[in-house]
Amino acid sequence: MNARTKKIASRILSVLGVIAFWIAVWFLLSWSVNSKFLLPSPKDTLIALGELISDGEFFLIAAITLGRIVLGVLISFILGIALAVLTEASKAAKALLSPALTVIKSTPVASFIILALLWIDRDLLPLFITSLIVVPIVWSNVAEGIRSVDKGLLQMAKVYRFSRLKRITALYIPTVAPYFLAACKSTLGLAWKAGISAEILCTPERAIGTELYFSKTYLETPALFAWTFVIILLSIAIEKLFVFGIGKLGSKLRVIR
Amino acid sequence: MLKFEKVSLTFKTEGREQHVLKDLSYTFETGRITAITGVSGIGKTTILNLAAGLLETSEGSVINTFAKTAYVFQEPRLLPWKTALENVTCVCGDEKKAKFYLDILLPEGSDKYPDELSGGMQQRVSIARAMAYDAELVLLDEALKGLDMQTKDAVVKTLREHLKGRTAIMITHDKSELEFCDTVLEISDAPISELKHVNR
Ligand SMILES: Nc1ncnc2c1ncn2[C@@H]1O[C@H](COP(=O)(O)OP(=O)(O)O)[C@@H](O)[C@H]1O
Ligand SMILES: [Mg+2]
Repeated sequence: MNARTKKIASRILSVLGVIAFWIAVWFLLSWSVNSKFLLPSPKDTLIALGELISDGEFFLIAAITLGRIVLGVLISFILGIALAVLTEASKAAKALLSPALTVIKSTPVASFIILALLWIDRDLLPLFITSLIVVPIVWSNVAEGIRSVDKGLLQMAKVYRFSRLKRITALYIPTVAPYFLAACKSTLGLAWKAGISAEILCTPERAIGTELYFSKTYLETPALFAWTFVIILLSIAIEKLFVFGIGKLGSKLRVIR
Repeated sequence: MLKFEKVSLTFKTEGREQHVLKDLSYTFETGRITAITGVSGIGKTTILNLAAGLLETSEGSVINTFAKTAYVFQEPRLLPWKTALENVTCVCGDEKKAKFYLDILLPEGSDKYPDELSGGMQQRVSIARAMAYDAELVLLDEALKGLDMQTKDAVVKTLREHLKGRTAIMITHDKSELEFCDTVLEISDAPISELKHVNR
């Protein structure tokens, strides 16, 4: 074994050790509580997970929730960028729209969910809630990125008569990209959690949130744990996938180093 | 033609006013190389920025009728996410031409990114960019400062050749650079109200 594989092996072992420790804690707690309804054991959870997966709807439900939130996030990215460009390009737009940013940022998500339940179709609501979380963050980050474009380079572009398109592709996009990516990274987890919270409150037909809601109502605590486990796994997977993909793309374009 | 007509310029920063130019009139000789010297902070860069249309006058006007203006800024001002070659190509729109000038000015490293180049190398990319742009008016702000001796000769030779028949303004403190300028102007008093010819 060379030093590198040794290092990797010891790292894997230490991660496994940490996981084993917490599962042991969980096991001991559930053993002392001794109630499947209050705190299911790791074994109960695993069985519930097996049941969930063997049920034909599992993947469909997970896919619908995932799809809905990803769609919401994509729409929000576009909207956030559009708003940032608009408010940085026009003083009037900024004056008009900035208060909205402040209000949305400081209103609790739950208030929006309850209000929106009155206005919006329950299948679309999680999408709307996701946007409320994601849009302001993307908006303010991208706006900051636009403002941070190097003044000296702007002068250079002016002297050498860069077209509008060239100014955008050679100057603005590379400058703003790291700001945008930082926003993406910090919103993905939030969007995922807020989207599922919204599903719990508005129970669309097929959704992880709806399943959570019914597991709670019928005191199927092992299923509640199993779904939570699925949510955590998906959340980690999305973030890792995104960060990995973007990191590759970004270093290829040399906008993140 | 490049002409300053009764130009005054006042910077206002934090409520404080600084008069940099006051009623300056000067017509730069077309097709000639003009050098400007003066202590730092007196307003030499400001004059080039006005000529390039990057600053508005407070009073008076700057008339620049040249079709294209190239500017070697006091700092390299390269796009950090583009290689040296891409930086030059991006401006002149012709990779062959960009290669031609970079081969002379930066024989090694045209595929490198600015942060992989030394300050002097970045400066040479900036000079190559200005030459490849093929402008009628060329502004050079201490363009040769900080270049090391071995490479400076090649740069000076190429630049001299390039500037033939073009109008150029060169800010410099270097005696050897003054040598190939047609006119040398000195700024001695602030705010700048005249550009004094230096007899050589
Ligand atoms: N954008 C600006 N805003 C405020 N003051 C400026 C600005 N640009 C230059 N100045 C001031 O004008 C004076 C002349 O600057 P500059 O033209 O850069 O001098 P030089 O190139 O001769 O060293 C300096 O005192 C500087 O502080
Ligand atoms: Mg200067």
